Amino acid sequence: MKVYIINTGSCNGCDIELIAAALDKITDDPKEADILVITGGVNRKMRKKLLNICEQFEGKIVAVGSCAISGGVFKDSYSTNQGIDDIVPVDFYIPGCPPSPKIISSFLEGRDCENIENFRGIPKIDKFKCTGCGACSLGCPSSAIKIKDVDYIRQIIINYGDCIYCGECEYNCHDNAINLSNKPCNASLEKDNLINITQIKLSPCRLCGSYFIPTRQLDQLFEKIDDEEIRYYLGICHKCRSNIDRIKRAKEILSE
Amino acid sequence: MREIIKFDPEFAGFIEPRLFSFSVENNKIKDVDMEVGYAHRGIEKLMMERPYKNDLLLAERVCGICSNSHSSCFAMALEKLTETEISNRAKYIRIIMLEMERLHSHLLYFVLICKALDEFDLLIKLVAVRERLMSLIKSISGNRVNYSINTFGGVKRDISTEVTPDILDNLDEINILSEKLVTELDPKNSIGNKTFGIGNLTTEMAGKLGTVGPNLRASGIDEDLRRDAKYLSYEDFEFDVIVLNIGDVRARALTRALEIIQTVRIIENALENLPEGELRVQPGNLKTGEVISRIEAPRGELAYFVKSDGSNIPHTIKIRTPTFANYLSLKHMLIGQEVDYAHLIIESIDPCISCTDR
Repeated sequence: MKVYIINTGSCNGCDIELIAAALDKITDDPKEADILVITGGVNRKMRKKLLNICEQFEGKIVAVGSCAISGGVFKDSYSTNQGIDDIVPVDFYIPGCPPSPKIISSFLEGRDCENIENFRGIPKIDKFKCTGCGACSLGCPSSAIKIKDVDYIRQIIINYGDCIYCGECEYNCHDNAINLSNKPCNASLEKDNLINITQIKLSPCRLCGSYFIPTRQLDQLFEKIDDEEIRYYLGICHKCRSNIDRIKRAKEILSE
Repeated sequence: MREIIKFDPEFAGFIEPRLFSFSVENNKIKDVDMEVGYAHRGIEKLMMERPYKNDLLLAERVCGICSNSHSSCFAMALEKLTETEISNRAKYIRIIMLEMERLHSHLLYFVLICKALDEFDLLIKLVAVRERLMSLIKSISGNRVNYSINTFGGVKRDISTEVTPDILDNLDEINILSEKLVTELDPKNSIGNKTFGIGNLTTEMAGKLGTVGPNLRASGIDEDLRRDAKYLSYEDFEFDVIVLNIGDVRARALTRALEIIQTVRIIENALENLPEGELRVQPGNLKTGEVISRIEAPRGELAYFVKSDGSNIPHTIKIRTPTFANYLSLKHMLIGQEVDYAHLIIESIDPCISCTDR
């Protein structure tokens, strides 16, 4: 099996890991290669060159690294593309920033990679510790963690294709609920397989009944606060709270 | 009869995309046209739109080979702006990581030189030693390329005493290898013979063109920011600045081979005298103003200019990378040389295009 690498504007990280993983399989000629590996978010200058090579190529196309999969940390840049599947059809995705050589070599051998010691792998949320506060989402440099409320459930959506495995979420979490495990993210056929969803229960508003705050976060706040009035207001959603304030102020104006 | 020979961005001899077109007459290079920008990601613009905290991780991804130099340099710029003095232990850990990065970068340089010269026996040995170094870096920081170890006010991770014997063991191995490289680079041996006397850069030209790093020192100018700029706590360590005054491909390789030995000295010393202390101190308040922070990256002087308007988003950021300074000198090295040597001469300045393009 021969591999041809094309660097479409990566930071070299993925390329040197590919050299470490498959030095003997790398070829200089795209015609004799079975696998075309693309690293880096494609910028305007490289776009034409990439299309030229991909037109002649008949084997499998693999996107390596989060830049190639989704734009990664450079997602909002004016220069790079948000993932290469807008330009060429991709067969496999290998997430990582950069993926460890063990992940790449086990992909080339057609098996899954086991846990790697001391490695910053995929972020895992402890369901029983997480309060759903959203600190991980706010601090994430590549916006890989998103928070979405559906009915009475808060979804914490982690996209391993966007993730740059920097550990900032672990550093920001106050409850020690999110940790970068030793488990690496293996190659995937579909982009959708790289998404992980954690669900957390929400509490309803005391007045209108719409769900707005995670139950565990509310309990944690109640533990710290004894004042009954503040406790009452904590259980009310933002819309209702602003309405109450308005009534209070109206009463004050009337009484004057 | 003049003909044009092109090294395209998809030319597989290089890891990175770049364009060279040579005008060739009688197999001799008459003129060179160089083009960069194939790896441009607009990082400086992105940094001006994001908060400092995220910029640190973005700075790390400017380059995959000298990632820690970038993040250290940016963190140091911010510490200057907030007037924060980091602890001695944090300084030492930064130095150890920076020097380990220099080791793996220089070893990668020799891997690429060996690839250009078709010296595969030595290449396999170099890759094996480098792999061990990389797995040690992984066991300290959690990743082989983007260490994510720096934060404003110190470092995130500690170096435990468990890895120290492993590191020292590996350093001995690297020392032996670099001595082997020095003997291989002797003009009597094959690599030294192949690289001797090609791609000359004179002392005068090197100074005029603003060359930096090992390339400048190989041309006979004594300049090393670790000694001259006195950042972190490099003044605690004894090391020699390697200066050779020949300026050909062999001299540039030899400078790096000898530098590896000095780098090993620094790491051994730092591991021995690792002081106690906190890993991170709370940084002070951000002030308005401008700072320039400079460090000696594996390829030479790296500088960050940061202008702050007091908000959590930087007003201006400018990065001056070593390869940007070195790239122009390539033209002087290439003109007059045979085309067959072009690949070797280009690799000999250790270019890093992802730094240059950003």
